[in-house]
Amino acid sequence: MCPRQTRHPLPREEFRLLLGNEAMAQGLYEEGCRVATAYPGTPSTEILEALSAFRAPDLHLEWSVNEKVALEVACAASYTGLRTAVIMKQVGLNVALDPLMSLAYTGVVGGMLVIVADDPGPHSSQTEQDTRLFAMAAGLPVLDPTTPEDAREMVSLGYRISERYRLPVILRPLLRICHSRAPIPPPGERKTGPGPEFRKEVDRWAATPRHRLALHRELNEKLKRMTVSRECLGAYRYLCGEKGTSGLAVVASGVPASYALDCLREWGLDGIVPLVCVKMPYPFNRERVAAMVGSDRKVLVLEETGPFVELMLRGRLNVSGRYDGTVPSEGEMTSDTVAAALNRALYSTGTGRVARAETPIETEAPGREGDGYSETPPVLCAGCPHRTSFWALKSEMPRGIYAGDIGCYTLGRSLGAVDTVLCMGASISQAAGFYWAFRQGKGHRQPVAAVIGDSTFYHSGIPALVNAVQQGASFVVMILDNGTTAMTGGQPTPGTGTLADGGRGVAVPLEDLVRGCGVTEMWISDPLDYDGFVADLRQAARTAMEGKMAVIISRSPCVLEIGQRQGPVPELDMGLCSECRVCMDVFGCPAIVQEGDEIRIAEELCPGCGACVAVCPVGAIRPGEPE
Amino acid sequence: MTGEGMSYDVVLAGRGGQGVLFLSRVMGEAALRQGLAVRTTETHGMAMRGGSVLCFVRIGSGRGPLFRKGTASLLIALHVSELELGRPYLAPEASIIVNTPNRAGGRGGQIPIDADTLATTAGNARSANLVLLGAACTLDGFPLKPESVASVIMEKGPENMRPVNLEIFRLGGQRPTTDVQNPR
Repeated sequence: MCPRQTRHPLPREEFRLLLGNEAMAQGLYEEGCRVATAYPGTPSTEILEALSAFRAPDLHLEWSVNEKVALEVACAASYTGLRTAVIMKQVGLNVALDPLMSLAYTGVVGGMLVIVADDPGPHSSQTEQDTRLFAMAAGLPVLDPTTPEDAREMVSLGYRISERYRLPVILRPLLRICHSRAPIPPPGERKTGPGPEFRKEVDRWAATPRHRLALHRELNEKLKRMTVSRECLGAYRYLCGEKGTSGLAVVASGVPASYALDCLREWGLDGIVPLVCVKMPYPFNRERVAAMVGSDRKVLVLEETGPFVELMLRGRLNVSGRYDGTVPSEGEMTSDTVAAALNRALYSTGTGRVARAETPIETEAPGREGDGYSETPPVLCAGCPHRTSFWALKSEMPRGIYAGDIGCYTLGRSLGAVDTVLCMGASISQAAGFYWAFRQGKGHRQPVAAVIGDSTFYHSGIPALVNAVQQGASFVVMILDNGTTAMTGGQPTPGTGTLADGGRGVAVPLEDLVRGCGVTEMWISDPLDYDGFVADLRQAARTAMEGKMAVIISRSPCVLEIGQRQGPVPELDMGLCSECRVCMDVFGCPAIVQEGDEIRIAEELCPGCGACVAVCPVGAIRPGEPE
Repeated sequence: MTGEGMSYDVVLAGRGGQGVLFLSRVMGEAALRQGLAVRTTETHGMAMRGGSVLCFVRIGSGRGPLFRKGTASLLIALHVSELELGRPYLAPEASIIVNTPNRAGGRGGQIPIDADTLATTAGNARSANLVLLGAACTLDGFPLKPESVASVIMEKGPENMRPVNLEIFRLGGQRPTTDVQNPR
């Protein structure tokens, strides 16, 4: 075993077992962050929630309406010298990229962290995009933690770099940092900083194109200085094998660096194979890393998700990784991926004992499949009002094209009621695209529906609806209003007026916005009152076919928010049941279960929404007797 | 955990809503109380809606949150049909504790426990996970002491359920041990 001390000391009694997200929140609290903004998204959501739990009186925190708005709020606050943070998931950065690119030119005054959580796998996202490539595109430094402990320390490092260079710093935790727990020391004292002061500097904060050129030059000079700075050089560390003699060297960043260290230690190769960890992948000092690795070695680069460090070293060293295809270019790097890649590289350089050189290098996320088994897919909850909304949509617009969106209700796929999912807010604009496409044909008029959640509508559905109305498109927009951002754990939406810390803000009702977008035909209807809802939806569908935009707000609270029991458990009459399984296989309520030959409504799972009564084609499900 | 640098790795397999995360947290904090290094992973987002949930708990050394296939010492399956998802991670001599009403469902060397019935009878149907953890505490080499787990249970979850949960955990520890020694 390696005599070297592990970098993370054994936990002491007062340590707490924190998620990486909670560890970063603790870092933000300790470092005196004064304005924190975020839009919820897995795997980043718990950072703002944990920060809110500190109840710091000198901290404004908010669930902003979307990531672009969140970034703009935070950056102006840091213009005044305060420390700020904006938090999002990786695809949220796409939404926030417009202000971020420009902010790299203007810079900031108070330290600003842009925390962007990446999701290799992907586990809960539409892409596996690598935020480090966006950092390079914007010209901003990016930190890449290898453990939750690292992530907390990088909050402090990030603020130091940000204030020294007057640039926002991107902190990019991977999902396995965000959602793994590690022992973290108790929170230290909160730092205090100077109060807000805005120094007007019009050539910076309101720069015209001519001044923008100067600011671009300034940015590039900052980056150049940074590559030879203490911070940058200190970001390259040997995790093991500094004096190693092997013909192989490993360069790694993020969680794969941790897996690589585990493997080399276990195999007793940690004294032989140099493992260089890159904690700040951009800006990058190629000469320094090349010197640490040694130019005569083969170099294996282990990183997620794109080939960033590998591309930085390419042409200078004999590198392999995710770009040249040694490691698959997509998917999560697990400890097995790293072990297999290391094994193969060790074999090819004749280093150490190699047990399984032929093991394929795979990047399938854990739990997707076992020996001949595959994972159980997620489903809408028992009692979820979305299920009923989808059921009604299918029955009233059976030939419809259903443009879906992002949230729990993406799970409407299994009911056959979601045909497209692209990105946040795309349902309405894509429905418009379908509408115009079929308008070009001479045949039938194609019914089209957009289905979008309340939080997603606030996030980016509004401009799409304005656009569709103004262009004269007509289709059905169903806004699923369950009063919360359910998929990410129930963050408040602007419709409720509740703030991130639970306080009261000002409610911005959906129906006012819909009218404001120019919509004249609107229904507000409760999907659990099934007959009434179907009648409203039928009218909406007819209105759309007659050439008017029709919006139906499907309003019923999230079943997770209201707790368990809504009414009596319906009764299933097995004498009438034809065992067609529509309630189980098509409607898909998880409270209707089959045990052996018996189909029953599981009392312990059923919240008593009663939606299944209308679903049964032979009337075998009756409303339960009130208790 | 046989020596310096080794870890006792546990896979938890279940479905969203079964308390897999709660179980991993109880195990992690119990380890912390014993001064052991520990890392756990969690599954959030999509998988929380009744889908498969696989959690990794590493007690002892180890810097990465995931361990490799064929290396874990124990699999606790909260749902019998999720067992196979966790199985690839097990070392050949590993133990499997599985929640199933069917004792015959415990194929070679698996320890079948009807945790749902036990927990429901004892007063909290949602604490089947603690029955299984109670059983795990009786395994040779399992690093967590029942006392440290018990102390965590008395500080977690709804306050009025804590004594019941503790009782449920103890019930799990009283299972017949005749199946235990059979290798898989």
